[in-house]
Formats: sequence, structure tokens, C-alpha cells
Amino acid sequence: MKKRLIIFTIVLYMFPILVNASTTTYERTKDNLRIPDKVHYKNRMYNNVISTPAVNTEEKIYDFADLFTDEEEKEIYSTIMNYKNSTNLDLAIVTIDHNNKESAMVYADDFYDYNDFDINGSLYLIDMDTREFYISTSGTALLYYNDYRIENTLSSMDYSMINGNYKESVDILTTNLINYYNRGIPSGNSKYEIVDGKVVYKTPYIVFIIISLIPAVIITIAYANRNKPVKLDKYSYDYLVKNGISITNRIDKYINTTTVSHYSPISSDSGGSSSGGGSSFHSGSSGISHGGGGHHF
Amino acid sequence: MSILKNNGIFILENGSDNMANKATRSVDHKCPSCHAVLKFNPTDQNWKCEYCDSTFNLEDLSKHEQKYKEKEVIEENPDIGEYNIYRCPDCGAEIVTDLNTAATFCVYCKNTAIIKERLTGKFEPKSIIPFNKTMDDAIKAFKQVGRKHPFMPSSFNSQKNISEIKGIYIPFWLFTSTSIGGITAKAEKIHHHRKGDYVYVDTMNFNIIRDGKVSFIKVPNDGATKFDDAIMNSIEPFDYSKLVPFNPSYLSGFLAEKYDVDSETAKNDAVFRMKNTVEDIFKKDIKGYSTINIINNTINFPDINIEYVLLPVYLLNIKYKDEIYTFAMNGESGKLIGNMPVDKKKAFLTFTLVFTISFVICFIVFYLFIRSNV
Repeated sequence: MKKRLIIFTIVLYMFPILVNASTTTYERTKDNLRIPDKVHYKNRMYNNVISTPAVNTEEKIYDFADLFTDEEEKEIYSTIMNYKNSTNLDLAIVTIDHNNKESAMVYADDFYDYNDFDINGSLYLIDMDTREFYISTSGTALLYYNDYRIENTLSSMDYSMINGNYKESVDILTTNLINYYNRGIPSGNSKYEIVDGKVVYKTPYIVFIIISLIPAVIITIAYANRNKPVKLDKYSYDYLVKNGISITNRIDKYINTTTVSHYSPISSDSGGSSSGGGSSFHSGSSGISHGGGGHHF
Repeated sequence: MSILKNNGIFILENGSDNMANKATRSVDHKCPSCHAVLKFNPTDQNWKCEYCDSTFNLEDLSKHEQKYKEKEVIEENPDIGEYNIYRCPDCGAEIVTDLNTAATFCVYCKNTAIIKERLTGKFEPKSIIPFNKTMDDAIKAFKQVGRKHPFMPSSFNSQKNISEIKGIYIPFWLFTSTSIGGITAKAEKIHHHRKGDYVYVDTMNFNIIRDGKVSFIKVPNDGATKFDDAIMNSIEPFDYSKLVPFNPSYLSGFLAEKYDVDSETAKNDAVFRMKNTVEDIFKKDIKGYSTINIINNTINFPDINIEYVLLPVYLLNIKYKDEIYTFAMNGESGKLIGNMPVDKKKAFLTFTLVFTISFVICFIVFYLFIRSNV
């Protein structure tokens, strides 16, 4: 009896780790947090790290909520590999029953950051707990998939999600992502680059050159002009008699006012979600920049 | 640049004297003590004998003046084209002058020679500002000319580049007058305001009049075509409190010219300058408008007083890399001015340095404050 209880306890203890036959998770301990190299660990990240499952990043599909059949998982895996080969961007699919973090966004960001996925890639999370499906992007994937592209993708997935066709939503996602990848980085994001996982402005060398030319030209011309001081003087201010100016007649007569008007609408922001627009992004608990978005179903 | 074209043969050498002489009229006084030639000394504003160290003022000289018999240069061959040839009364050598030279030197005996008819009658100046600066002052000023000119070639202001230097009394016309009349202008005040999606531009139109009197005293205009007007403008102003009645004695040791631009012609230039100035004064008095357009100008100078004077100028010819650069120094105030070449290497270095510094500043500012602030 005692022996059975011990076995049962061990099995129970192992249960969350081996939640699915195809998903291997590793234990994080205080001494071995399994932090990937892309994250510069700081103590304040501890809670986020310890609450994030550590997985084998080669698997790509982490179906904790068991939404896919084994067959489907195989198909999805090969789709992801296809995507990865043609775009050089990573992609992970995660499904959960229970969300132990503040939101789908935080869960998705943390899962991607605290596992050793490529810095440039996306994560698709189906959160059955909050009934939200969420796409998180990081690195150059953030630049490729601007708000407009993410929103379009999510919208085209809505129908499948509401109807519970989770596998179909993954297919729509990968098709969309490949299409958008092939259209290149939208112009709204061309001013950004990714350094150390963070979105920063590209160094605008052309602007620097133009700004630097201004003082250089002005100073050089001013100094060169000093060497040509000989000028005809068209005035004779030097020879004004002291107190010799008397203006005896000052008339400023108002005649009329003419008014013209022209149409000039107050320029308004076209609202970020144009196809050439940029990405809105936030910093995850790891400090890495993430973009993306989600819909409820 | 027409300066010096005929005068090149008279290279000045300070204080080189020989035998006593009585050149012309009252110039080149003999020292009453030792009979050496006396030259005007700009530093002390008197005449100093370099042999016996005696000094004399104008009054002393005039006492002795009568004792000497006037002797004038003898005109040898009047008017052969651009030149006149005279015979030096002291050594008999030929003195070649152009048609406007009023005082010069005999190239052989270095004594001052004055061509009397070019300083008398209608050519007699009313007054003169005697030289206040010496030739050494001019050389010294030239050697310091680089200070405010970072792009001057380093060796440009070397004394060895001074190929010629001379002190010349240049004929000037001085115009004193008070303007009458004024200007009429149209002015606008422009005001923008927005109502919804429309921008309204209100233009208030005004008619403006400014009328009055502006007085000028002694606006100078040089009376010799051979001197560049721009360079003469540039060494202005002369301190007119230093004007003294003309006396040929001041010319000893210097060159002098007579005018070849008559007062009427010179007057046009002076009136142009005065009129511009009055218009500018009136225009600056019109305030608070977005645009001002002068449509009528009735400024004129009904009464103009004209004086003919000689003003002291040092002219320096600088030869640098086969180019001649002319510098002029106001012989009264010491103001030295002239165009000089630009050292392209220095200009390029400055350009590069400023560019690099600005670029680095841009870079630092970008990295510190902008880059991560997305």
C-alpha cells in the first residue's frame, strides 16, 4: 500500500512535466534557470522565468491544451519547417488550458524569450483560459509583421477560431506570414533596426552628413570671405551729422483689408494601420522588444 | 586695378637725402641750421633734420622760407601722350610723370619735385590731412594682417612679399549736404487665422510716408580714376578733425596726385551713397509690417558744399605667387585693408575639421538620446 502511494506520488509529481507525449519540458530550478543567451538575466525576471515552461525548441509545437491530433502536429511541424526555411524566421505554436500569467501577451512573450528560440521569430499562442489567440513577434519578424499585417492575419483567422478549427487557423497564419514576408519590411518600419533584441532607430548617416555640412560650409565661407574685405560702400552712415536726422512727417495710412481663404484640412494621423505603417511594440519582461496582437474567440 | 600703373619707377626710401636743394616752391626745406634737406615726420607732425637733429614746425619753416629762391622743375617736353617729362632742377636728370602726378621724387637725387600747376588754381586743395603713420607702421600693420584671417597663406604677410610701398596724398572731394524729401511706400500686415478646414489670410494695406531732413558732413569720394573706389571706400573713415589748411610743405617725402574726376562727376557717386543712406534710415523707421515696398523716392540734396582735399594713403603692392595684391592703409587712422588669397589647404582642413566634429556630435547625441527612444 505504502509502495503504491509512493509510485502514485511520483507519477503525480511527474504529471505536469509529461503533460503530453510529444512535449518535453525541463525543470527550472534556482540554480539552473535555463536562461537562453539572448536574455541578459536580471533578478527581477525570476518570477517570469520560473513560471515559464522550459521546452525543447526543436519541437516547435507545444500543445499543452491538446488541441491537435498527432497527425495534425506532424503536418504543422512540416509547415513550420517550410516557413522557417523560406523566411529564416523562427515560429512556435503553443496551446494552453491554464494561463498562469497576467495575459496572453505576457505568456506568449515570456515563452518565446525564456526558451532558446531564434531572436528573429514569432509565436502563436492559443490560450483556452482567456479565450484569446495571440501572435507575438520579435526581432526582424517584428519589423516584417507590422500592426496592419498582424491585424489582417488575426481577422482572417477569426472564423476558424470561433468554429474551433485550430489546425486551420495555423495554416491561415503560416500562409499569411509567408506572403507578408515576401512583400518585405513595410516602409513604416524601415527606420528601425533590431539590436540585442531591442527595436532602435537605424543610424541616419545621410541626416548626419547633411547636418554636419551646414556648419562646415558656413564657417568655411565666412572665413574665406574675410580674405576679401574690399567692398564698395553703398551707404555713408559714417558721415551722418550727430542728431542730424529729423523725420518731420510720418504717415501710416490704413487703406483696406483683403482676405483670401484656402482649403487646408487639419492633418490627422491616418492611424497606424495602413499597409505601409509601422509596428507598435512593447518590451517584454526580458527587455526584448515584442510586437504582435491577439483576438478573442 | 589701375593703381600705380605709371608710378612704379618711384620706389620710396625713407630719409635718403643728399645735397641740399631748392626743388620747387616751398617743398624740401633746407634745415636752417645745417642746410640738409628736411622731410615731414608723420610721428611728431613736424619737420626733422636727420643730420643735426633739429626739429621745426610749420611756423619756423615759413620764417625761413622767404630766404630761398623758388626754383621749379622745367618742363621739357610737354604732353607726350600719357607722360610728361620734367628736368630735375637739382641734378638735371629727367623726371617722368603721368598726367596727374602732383608731387614725386627725382629718381637720381631723391629730392621731392612738385609740379606747380597741378597744385595751384583749380587744383589747389583747400586742406590736407598730413600723414600720421610712417611707412614702418604700414609694414608692421601688413605683417600682422593674418591675425583675423585664418585662411591666409602662412607666408603671405611676410615683408619680403612687399614689392612696393608708397605714401601718396590722394585727391578727395568732400560733400557736405542736408537732404530734403522723403519716401512713399506701400506696406502690408499679413495675418493668418483658421476656421475649421479653411485658412484665412487677411492682408491689411497701408500707405506710408516718411519725410524729413538728414545731414551729412564731408562724404568723401576719391578724385583720381587710377585708385580703385572699393579700396578707397574700405579704408574710410578719415578723422576730419585732423584736416589742416593745405601747405605744400606736407608733401615732402611723399607722392601726391591731382584730381582727374571733376567735382560734378564725383558728386553723383556721393549723392548715390547719401540717398541710399537716407532711404535706408526712413525704411528702418517703418516698423511693424510684414512687407514694405518703396514706390516713390523724392530724396534730394539741393545744397551741396564741396571741398577739395588731399588725404594720406599708403599703397602696398604685394607680390605673392606671381599675383599682385594691392593693400591700402589709411595714413591717418592706420586702417589697413586689402584682398588676399585663400589657402585652399587651410580651407579644406577647416571644412573637414568642422564637418568631423559636427558628425561626431550628431553621433553622440543620437546614441545617447535618440536611438533607443523609439
